[in-house]
Amino acid sequence: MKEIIFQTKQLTKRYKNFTALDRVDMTVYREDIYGLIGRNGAGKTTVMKIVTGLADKTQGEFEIFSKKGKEADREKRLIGCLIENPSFFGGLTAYQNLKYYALQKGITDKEQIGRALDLVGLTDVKNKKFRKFSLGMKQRLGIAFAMLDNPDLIILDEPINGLDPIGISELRETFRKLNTEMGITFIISSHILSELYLVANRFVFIDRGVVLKEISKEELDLECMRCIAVKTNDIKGASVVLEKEFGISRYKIIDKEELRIYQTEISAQEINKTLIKNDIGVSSVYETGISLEDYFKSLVGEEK
Amino acid sequence: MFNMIRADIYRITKSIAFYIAIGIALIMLASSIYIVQPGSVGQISVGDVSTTDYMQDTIIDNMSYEEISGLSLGDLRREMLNIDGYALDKDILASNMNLYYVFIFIAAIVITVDFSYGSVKNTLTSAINRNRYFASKTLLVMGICMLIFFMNTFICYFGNYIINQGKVSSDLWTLTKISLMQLPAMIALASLLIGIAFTFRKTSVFNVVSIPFIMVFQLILAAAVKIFSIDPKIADFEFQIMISKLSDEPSGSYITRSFIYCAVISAVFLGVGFTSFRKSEIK
Repeated sequence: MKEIIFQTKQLTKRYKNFTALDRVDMTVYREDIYGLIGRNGAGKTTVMKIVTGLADKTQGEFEIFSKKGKEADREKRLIGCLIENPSFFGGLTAYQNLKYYALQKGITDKEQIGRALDLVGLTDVKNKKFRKFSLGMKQRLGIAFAMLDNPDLIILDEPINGLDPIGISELRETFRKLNTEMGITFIISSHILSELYLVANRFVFIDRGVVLKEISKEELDLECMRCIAVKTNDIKGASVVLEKEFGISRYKIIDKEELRIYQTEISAQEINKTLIKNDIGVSSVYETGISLEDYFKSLVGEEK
Repeated sequence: MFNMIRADIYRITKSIAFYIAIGIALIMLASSIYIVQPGSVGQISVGDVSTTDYMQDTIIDNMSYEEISGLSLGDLRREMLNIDGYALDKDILASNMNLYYVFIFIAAIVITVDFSYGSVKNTLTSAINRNRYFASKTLLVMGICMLIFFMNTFICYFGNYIINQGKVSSDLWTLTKISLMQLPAMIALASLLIGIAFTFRKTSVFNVVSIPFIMVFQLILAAAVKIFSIDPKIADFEFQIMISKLSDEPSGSYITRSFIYCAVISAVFLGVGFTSFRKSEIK
């Protein structure tokens, strides 16, 4: 069983007449790359702001490294964050900005700043003032800041905003490398599911402050994969027939009336004919499977 | 907290605004010393010299207002230097209210810039909590403002002594005593600015509120005295008057009352600033 390093329980945030978060439950395990997906204004940033102390919760609780309340506050040193836009002092260079935060954090290893800049490919422009940076460079500096103190957990809010495709790809590789080689856990928010899909191993879908679904990548793949759905009143009988007649092994029982077959070389018509021949009551057999975007739309209730 | 202060010192020494603030303080002081007119910045224009009634009545009592007005800046300087027993440095300290505008720069550089850039988020999310953030920023602003205040005193003494060849100088101990008397008022001014900075947070709003604050405070006090027939002595606790009075051998009771007043002002503004900052959502 993996160690839980971050968890929210019934986390709620209300502003006068508006509920930004409504009883949010989330669980992040060590070495996860946890994708927080939702539209703009869904509540992703609010979760991150509460966890990092930029906003107060109205109800509920959260734990970081199994610590709550003020004790959790002390664990901040183990967290690297980039919330909303990367914000630094415009008149200072990239190096000076990171040195400022290194001094704040009491980082004594002078090499650390150089390593963080190197990690995000900003070594060549380390003496350029922040105000002269492009949006992509600003994002990279924000990520370098988050990684400055070798944290155990990195929380990044929309980190790929403003990055070009090559930049996004490089950043993805950096996340993977830090995750696999150094065991760093990531919580990354984005409204672009297809990008997050390429890097995260677990996802939470959030909309209007409500968690719609928490799902692993494998489960997401299964839900989105092209398959043949069989609706029957005899799931057990149907699975026996399918295994015996077609040698099907890649199938999943969704509930007591539906199973899905992920071997699309067999036609729906053939499956239907065989099940009926074996006295299995079939109400429908159809091909299904959706894109990630359509899956997201179906979750938030905006199906085509 | 020490790391935070160290980091901020590193940052502000890289900022041009800090040197501008120090430069402004030095220019105000140097111009006062050279033209031999305390706190006269904004009251004198070269070629059309005019002085306050105070100058006419108490300093150059052997000249008429018209004669003084006709003097060039150089002539006025010579006249002032010839006044027996006049202590310019003491009078400059009496107009130390000018430092309020330098303190505005310091509060902006240390506190509001962090909110305006949004960089405060980086600190609060990873380095320290809000209580420590507030404490370290308060200590730093207070420290720099008090350093400037005492530097002002000593530069004033030595600058005046050197530029005016000791003709209109007081002694260093007298100036140190005046500074110590004014210290609570200076702490109150710095606290007031810290409170405003943490309440309004953005530099633009902070400037709009803090720059006219003292003038508005004076107007409100004057209006209150007139409208509600309050004892006019209350005006003695208006900052500009208080700083001036504290430099001129004030009575023991006035010192006590002014110290209490300054302590209350400091506590109120720091309290308001802290409460506002503590409850706010950082954007």
